[in-house]
Amino acid sequence: MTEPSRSVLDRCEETAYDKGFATALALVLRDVDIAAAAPGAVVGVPEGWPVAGEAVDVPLATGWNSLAFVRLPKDRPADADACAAVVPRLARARIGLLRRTLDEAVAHLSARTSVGEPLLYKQLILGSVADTVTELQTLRRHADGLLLRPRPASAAYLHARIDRLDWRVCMLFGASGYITDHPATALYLSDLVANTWVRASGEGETAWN
Amino acid sequence: MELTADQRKTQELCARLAPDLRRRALAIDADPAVMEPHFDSPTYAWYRECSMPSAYRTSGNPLITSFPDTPSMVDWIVASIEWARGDAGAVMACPGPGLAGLTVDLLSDERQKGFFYDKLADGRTWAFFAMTEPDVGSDAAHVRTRLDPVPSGGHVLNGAKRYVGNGDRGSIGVVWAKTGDHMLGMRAVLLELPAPGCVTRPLPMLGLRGARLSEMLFQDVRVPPGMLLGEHLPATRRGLWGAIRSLQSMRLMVGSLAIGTARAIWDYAREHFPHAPGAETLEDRIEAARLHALETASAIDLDPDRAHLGARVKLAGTRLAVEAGAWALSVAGPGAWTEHPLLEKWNRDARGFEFMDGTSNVQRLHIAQGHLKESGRA
Repeated sequence: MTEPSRSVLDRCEETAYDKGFATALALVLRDVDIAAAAPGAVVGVPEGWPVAGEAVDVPLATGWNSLAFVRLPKDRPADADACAAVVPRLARARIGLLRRTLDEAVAHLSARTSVGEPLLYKQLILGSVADTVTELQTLRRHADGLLLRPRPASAAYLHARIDRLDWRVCMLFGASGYITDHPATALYLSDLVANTWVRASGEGETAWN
Repeated sequence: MELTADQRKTQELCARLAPDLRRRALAIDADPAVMEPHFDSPTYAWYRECSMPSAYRTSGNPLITSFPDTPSMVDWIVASIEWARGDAGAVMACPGPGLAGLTVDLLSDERQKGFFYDKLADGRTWAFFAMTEPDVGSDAAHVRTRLDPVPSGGHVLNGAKRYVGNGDRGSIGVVWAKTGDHMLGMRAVLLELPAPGCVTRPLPMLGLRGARLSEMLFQDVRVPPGMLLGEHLPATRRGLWGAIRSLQSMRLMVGSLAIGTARAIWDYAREHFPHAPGAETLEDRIEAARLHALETASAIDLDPDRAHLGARVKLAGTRLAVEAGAWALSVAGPGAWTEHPLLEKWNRDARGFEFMDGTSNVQRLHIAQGHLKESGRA
């Protein structure tokens, strides 16, 4: 893997961690011909991104999440290589968002107590945090590997695993993470954005087991 | 397990009514405050009727004949799964006694029961069940809201509740509060709204918006005499016992709604993506979960003290629904959820079951404790 390519992935992740998912998505899609790269009829992009098409109304995406979904014109050129280039960058941006939200979950769980002890120190919670940080590391390297071996089924598996981790982190917030103005809803939107960029391979089911 | 002839009739009837719920699902999701177009739905009328004890049923709905006057848990689970195959959010949006009704049936005397159910008879009134609090979640033993007697009679309520279904639009409901710092100090009162000192607001939820989860704040809210539940019961059955029994029953119901949602997702995906990989496996998983829910309900009907078994159904059902939602969005293809908004909605709804009446981790604790107790190890 060339260092510049790896360095772009690192920047996608760090941007999501520092500045949020929409800003990182702008980096992911920089210089990408959206119409050619998109694998489906609809794409998730940063709000205001210059792409021709019809806006899809997804109220949760706009506002502080700063995302938009656009239905692209029909009869577009298809460029599978361009799509394959987006997928690992998008994965690393999602991992950055996951890290950021996991840190927020840890702060949330440190502040809540049960039977005189912070919830964070309950064994079930610690186990979930441990599983998440461990898998984050392997998924990060999985994304890097897609630069060398851009395999569609492997990419679909990777994003399905990130979807699963997103949900695991959401659960750490309890019901507060289910309110639409909570930062955890960005994880759900990240799932929807990835869904527009990754073609399912049939391995999605195993990725959730 | 074999369903009785009446249970099969209930199942068939609910399956016939479910498409009506599905037709209303997206409108309720888009704006759960606009319910007028749905009140007179035949499905809602049936749901309301069978949610009321027979003495308080009013419409003489001929469809109700197969549903027993005193439904068993199996009866409820058969119906809940089929309702959720229509749409769980639309079920939760239906005016009626809901979880508050379970508590009223357990803890109230006949006068209180009449007061509660008469208020709901118009078919346009919701009931709320206020247990969960901002700092302690659904941990019934550590509720902080206070219920203090006043010299002139009745009580005064102070505290905060959060994630209360229909808390913002309910006109009557049950509020759980502490009358003292001892185990028997946990009590429930009937509360009519609006009431001076009570402020409510709906919470913008990601899914299951028909449930209209809300925040409720109580500042010196007067509770008139005669509204304290359980006074006619032995001291050990007046409070926490009723809370736990209500929540345990509700967990089985929530798990069943999750299983029905998984089935709704599967039905939809099968119709629109007939060659989707993994569909047969998912169908088998859903059927196994349905049988598990029915067997659990049957076990609880035989021995209500085993109600902790419902936690297993909720844990497994929630996981199944979330996985079914992810599967469906995946097999639909890139961005196809924009063309199939029901799938996207159900994907959000499925996650909502996780947070109702205890998260999966809370269920795991109940399951382990119940297992250890029954195996004589605790």
